[in-house]
Order: sequence, then C-alpha cells, then structure tokens
Amino acid sequence: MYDERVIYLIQILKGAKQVKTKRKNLILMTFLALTMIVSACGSSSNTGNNNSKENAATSEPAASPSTETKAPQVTMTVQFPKSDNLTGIEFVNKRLARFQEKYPNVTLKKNDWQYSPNEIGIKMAAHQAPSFFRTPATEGKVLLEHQWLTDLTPFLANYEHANDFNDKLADPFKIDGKMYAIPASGYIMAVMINKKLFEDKKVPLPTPDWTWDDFYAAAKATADPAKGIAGFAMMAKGNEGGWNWTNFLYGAGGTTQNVADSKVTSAFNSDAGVKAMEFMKKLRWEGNALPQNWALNFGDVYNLFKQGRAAMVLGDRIEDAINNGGMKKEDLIILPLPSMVKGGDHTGVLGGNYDVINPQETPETQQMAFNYVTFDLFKDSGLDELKLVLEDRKAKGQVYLYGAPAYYKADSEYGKKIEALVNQYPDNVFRYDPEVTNLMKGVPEPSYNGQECYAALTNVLQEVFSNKDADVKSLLDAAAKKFDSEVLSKVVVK
Amino acid sequence: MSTQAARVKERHTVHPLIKKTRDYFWGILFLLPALIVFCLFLWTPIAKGVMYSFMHVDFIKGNEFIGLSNYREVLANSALGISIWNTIYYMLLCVLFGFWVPSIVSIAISELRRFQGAMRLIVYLPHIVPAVVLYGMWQWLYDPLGPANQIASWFGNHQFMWLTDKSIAMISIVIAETWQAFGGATLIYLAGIVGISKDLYEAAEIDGAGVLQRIRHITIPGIRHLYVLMFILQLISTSQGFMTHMALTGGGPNNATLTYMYQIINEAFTNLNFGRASAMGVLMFLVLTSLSIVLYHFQGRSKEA
Repeated sequence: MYDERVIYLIQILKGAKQVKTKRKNLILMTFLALTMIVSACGSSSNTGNNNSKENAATSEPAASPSTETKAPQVTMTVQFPKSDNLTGIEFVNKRLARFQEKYPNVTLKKNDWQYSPNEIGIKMAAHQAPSFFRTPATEGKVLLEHQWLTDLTPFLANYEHANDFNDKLADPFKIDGKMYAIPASGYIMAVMINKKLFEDKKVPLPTPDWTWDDFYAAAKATADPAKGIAGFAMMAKGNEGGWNWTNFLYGAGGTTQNVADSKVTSAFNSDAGVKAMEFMKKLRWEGNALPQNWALNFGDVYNLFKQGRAAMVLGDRIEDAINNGGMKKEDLIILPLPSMVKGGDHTGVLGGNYDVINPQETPETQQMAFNYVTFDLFKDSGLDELKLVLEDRKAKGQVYLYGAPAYYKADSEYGKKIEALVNQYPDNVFRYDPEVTNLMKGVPEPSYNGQECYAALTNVLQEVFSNKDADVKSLLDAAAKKFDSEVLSKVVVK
Repeated sequence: MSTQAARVKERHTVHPLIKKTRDYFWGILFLLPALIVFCLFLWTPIAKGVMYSFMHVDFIKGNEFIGLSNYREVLANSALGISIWNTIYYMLLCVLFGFWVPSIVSIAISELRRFQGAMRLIVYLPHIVPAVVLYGMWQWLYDPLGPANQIASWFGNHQFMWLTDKSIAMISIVIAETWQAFGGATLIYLAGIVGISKDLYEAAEIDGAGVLQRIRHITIPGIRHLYVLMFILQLISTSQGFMTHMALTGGGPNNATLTYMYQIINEAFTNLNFGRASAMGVLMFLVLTSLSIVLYHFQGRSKEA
C-alpha cells in the first residue's frame, strides 16, 4: 500500500516535470510547501486540543515557589493596557523594566486583551488567555466552576505578605481553605450623586443615613422627564439590571440564594425581594423618576450621568465622571445605599477586581505570574507607583478616588503610608466621607450561576418597568421556580 | 523514435486514477487554497459544532460525551418557546415591513430618466454605515425625546416608548433593519430589471402602455424569479437575526425581542455553555437546511416556468 502511494506520488511528480517550465515547477514547489504547512497546522492544532501547555506542565517537575534566583527561562504574557491608554502603557512599561531587572530569566510578552465575560470562554478554548488576568469579582464563580483559576495556595505558602490581605476582599475567593485570586481593588456599591441637579430643582441634598423614602423623594423631585432628566438612572437592559436590583434586595434584608442540605434554591422571591421590586415599581410608575428609555446598560447609565441627565446612579465611577466626563469634583458626592427603614443597614453588593492566574500555564510561568501580580503589593515600589499616578493626575488636573476597600487593611502600617501619601494631594483626591465608609455594609454577589440569576432578575425588572399592573410577587415566584428547575437544581454543592 | 513509442506505451499503461490526476492537476492545485480555507474555517467548525452538541464542553478537564442531554435541556428550556415565537414574529414583520421596499425602490429608480446613478448610490449608503454608528444613531432616533417621537407628535400627542414598550420594540428593530438593509436588495432587483430586454418596453410604448402598465406587465414579471429568491434569502437571514436586538434592546423588555439566535449567543457567551449552544445551533441548522431545500425546489420550478 505504502509502495503504491510512493509510486503514485513519483508519477505525479513525473507528470509535473513534463511541463518543463521553471515557473510551473515553482508552483509545484509552492503546492508541496503549502501542503506541508497545512499538515503542520493540523498537527499543531491537534496538540492544542490536547492541551499542550498542560502536557508540558505534567511532564516537568513542579517548580518550587522559590525559583527567583536561578531558574529556567520562562515566557510569560502580561496584560497590557490598550494602545489609546498612553499613561497606562507608560506605567506598565516602567514596571516591566523593573520586573525584568529582578527576574532576568523571564521573557515578557505583551497582550492587550482585557477581561470580558463574553470572551473568556473563547480565550481559554484557544489557549490564548494571558498568564494572568484581572477580572471583576462577579466572574469569580464562573471561573471557578469552569476551573479557569489556579489554586494560589502553594505560591502563597512562600509569600511574606500572605496574611496581610484585606479579608473583606480576599474571603470571597477563598474556597475550602484555598485562595484563587489576589484582590486588586474593591468596592461596596454606593450611590453617586450630581449635586448640581439637586441645586437646580432646589432639592435638599440627602444625608448618609438616608432611607428608601428619602431616596424616592429625591429621585422624584430631581426628575424632569420633559427635559430628559432622570432622578435615578438604573441599569436594566442586560444582566446588569439584576446586579443593580440586588443592592435593593440586600437593603431589604434579602438574599438571592439559599443553600441547605447540599441544595441551592432561589431566595429572591422572599418578602424582602417583593419589597425591593415594589420599590422599583414605585420609582418607575408613581415617581416617574427613571429615564423614559430605561433600557440602559452599564455604559449608557454613566453616559447619562456625565451628560447631566441623571441625578443619581449606582456606583462610584468618580474618576470616569471627572477625568473623562469633565464633571467638577465639587458637584459630586458619594452616599451609601439608603437603608430600607431609619437606622437600618446601608447594604450594597461587595465586589472588586481580582488578579487570577491562568491554569493552562506551566507551574514555572504560574509562579512568575504570581511574582508579577504581587510585585508591588505592600512594598515601597507600590507607593512609588501610586506617587507617579498622583503626580500624573495633578499634572492633568484629574482626580484619584480614595477610600474604597483596598487589597491591604486600611488600619495596617501600609494602609497608613498610603493615606499619608494621598494626603499630599488634597486637590487631586476625591475621598470617601469617613461617615459614609462606616455606614457601608457589603454582601458578596450570588454564589451560584450569578449571570443566569441576574438574567432572570433582569426579566422581572423589565416586566415591572414596562407593565404598570405587573404583579411583583407572582413574577418573582415564577422567575424563582423557573431558575430553580432549569439551573439551580443541577448545581452540586461541594 | 523508440523513446516516443515508449512514452506512448507508458501513457497507455498508467493507472486511470493517475491519468485523471495528471489531467486535472492544475485545476486541483488552483482549487486547493479555497478547499483548505473552507476546510479550516467552515467545515471543521460545522463538524465540531455537531460533535460538541453531544458533549459537555470543558476546555480544562476535557470534553465529556453526554448523549442527548444537551438537546433535552434545550427543549425543556421555557425561554425556547418565547424565542422561537419571537423569531417567527420578527421574520413575519421583516416580510411585512421590509420585503416590498427594495422592489418598489428599484422599480422607481429604473423608471427615472435622470439621476439614476446618484439614486443608486444614495439608497446603498445606509448599507455601508458602520454598525456602531448605525446603532448609536437609532438609539438617538428612538430616544423618548428624540426625532421619532417629534415626528409622531405632529400626528397627535403621542409619545412612543420605541424600545421599552413590549408591543412595539420588535417593530422598532425591524424599521431600523429595513432602513439599513434595503439598499443591498435594491441593487439586486435593479440588476434584474436591467436584464429585461429593452425591446419589450419599446413595443409596449408603441402599443400605448403607460408607466403603471409597463411595470405591471413587463417589469414585475421580468423579475418574478428574483422575488422567490429574495424571499427565501430574507427568511434565512432574518431567522438568524440578533445583532440589532442585542444593540438596541438587549433582548428585552422581558424577552420580548429575544430571538433564537440571540438565545444561542447568550447560552454560549454569557452562560458559557457551549454544548447546549451547539445543540441549539444544530437544531437551527436542520431547520435552515429544510428551508434551503424548499428554496431550491421553488427555484427549479420557477426556471421551468
């Protein structure tokens, strides 16, 4: 069989030779080269499917975490800012140079992909995710469910600051005693207010200990539908709707899911859920305080706010509002979420950004990525970097938001050093009011199938916003029943 | 002389397959790049999609064969009925609002004595507007205080919630899409009209036919085969629609504009359940293939006619 094929090929080649022109021979050579390239591509993609990086990882001995001094050459992809972020590029380049100096055995490859919930699956499938990447807390469970996170415990075992992280931020990513992410920055959902719109309508500014009634009154009084101004702009177009609403659910003392006897069930259709959804209905129909076109996504809401078309929004995107939106520092304040009743908890969703390490990398690269992620944490170099940021903001007349939960403990020695540094730039720092910080209480996001949970809640929210007579209780019950039977009943609690 | 005889002999003794290969060698060679591209970027993903539909897709632990489980889950999903109904409703609206527009515009342009070229360009312009600009523009047009409601206010004190009212959100999407896409179809109809023999028009004019009679008895019958083709093509393309829905309404309010294709996208890229999304894709593939068979059947019949 083999001989026949060889003879066959030779005969084809003979046939081709008969053409006798150099140019045609050249085309033949190109054909052969093309065939070889294609077969090479095919074989490489096959090994790619079999997880080449993982194979490499298993065939090599696991690197000891202390491979800093004499280690083999390691190649690592570094998350790099997009090309229009010139300041960011400058900072990262400086950091890369410092890192390279300390670890000469590493080859750094820049990759400007930024985490996107819709792209991570493709990136992991293609084995093209960077060695480490920054992800919002919302994505934690998704990444964990798919095992797209590396257990950082072995690396933390040799890390001097392993116990210095702010527990509030680190805990959501600690599962069964293992830590899967390094916290970078955090937030407890707050309310961002455009004071100017309050002054225009002569509405008194709310105080940090405000309630739902105060919130409703403020939203109603500042709204001016004829001018396209909303008292409160809320996200309700995509899954962000459920995320926004969850803050009010928490405020009413509710939760999204219950775990009992190894089973997860929906809990958003509780009395608290009904109260929170009734409050949305009141804002929309009775107060007419929402934007007339309420189908807004994350970006739309902040665009409205920056255009002066929303008096209140959820979040603390002060830097974006001032540095990009041209708003004035003195026109903005941040308040905690209102409490449902006077003296109650001012609860909001606890979230943040985390650095996670790609499990498809070899242990050596993972260790190097860990070194990079923690390179400036708790160190003077971190202070130097912050100083550069503050200087840059000062030069550009921009602000830096300070006071949200950070990776370090605020009352630690390092926290105090940061505070001292920030204090040197009073004009360029937007500071959380300490009273506001004290009142804020954070609760992590839904633990299981977060995105699907938010999607289910967004549908209810949209029905309430588009149907004046919507029966909130039955809508929430129906959503819970559907979500339980189609999603949560399949969840295995470990 | 003897070598030539040997060659002739060789030619007679070669394997027929080799002979065929020799004859078609250059043809195959030129086909090869296209075949490779199709293989890598079309047929392989199709084959993999079918394979994945029977698997629990996991890029780290490896895929696991789970039989028809994905299909069972897809069929049990309560949003499936909504999305299928929405898709059919959307396809129907596209036919109602959009199907006749390009044909009327093309006939109107063909009847123009002057500025035909300029009109062709103008009607095609929306087609080349970048999607980001297009969706931004329609968001603005549909703003409750925007131009669409300004125009509506001329005819009474109406204020429509174009994108957040469940009963009109889909219609708003179809209007936006018709505006964007009618230029392409207009050019195809125009090409058909250009192909109609000029003699027929001249003869009709001599016989005293007016514009409407010309259109009714010559132009429309002349492009009749195109109507069937464009109709089926439109059904196939609208059955896969999701982009405008994604950009303008996000599938809302409360799934009122969630199409089947959009549900696939959500399943794959929001819920990251590639197995279930593939199963939905395979089901859609089967339906569209059936639709294509109908297309060829109709096409064959129209040619015979």
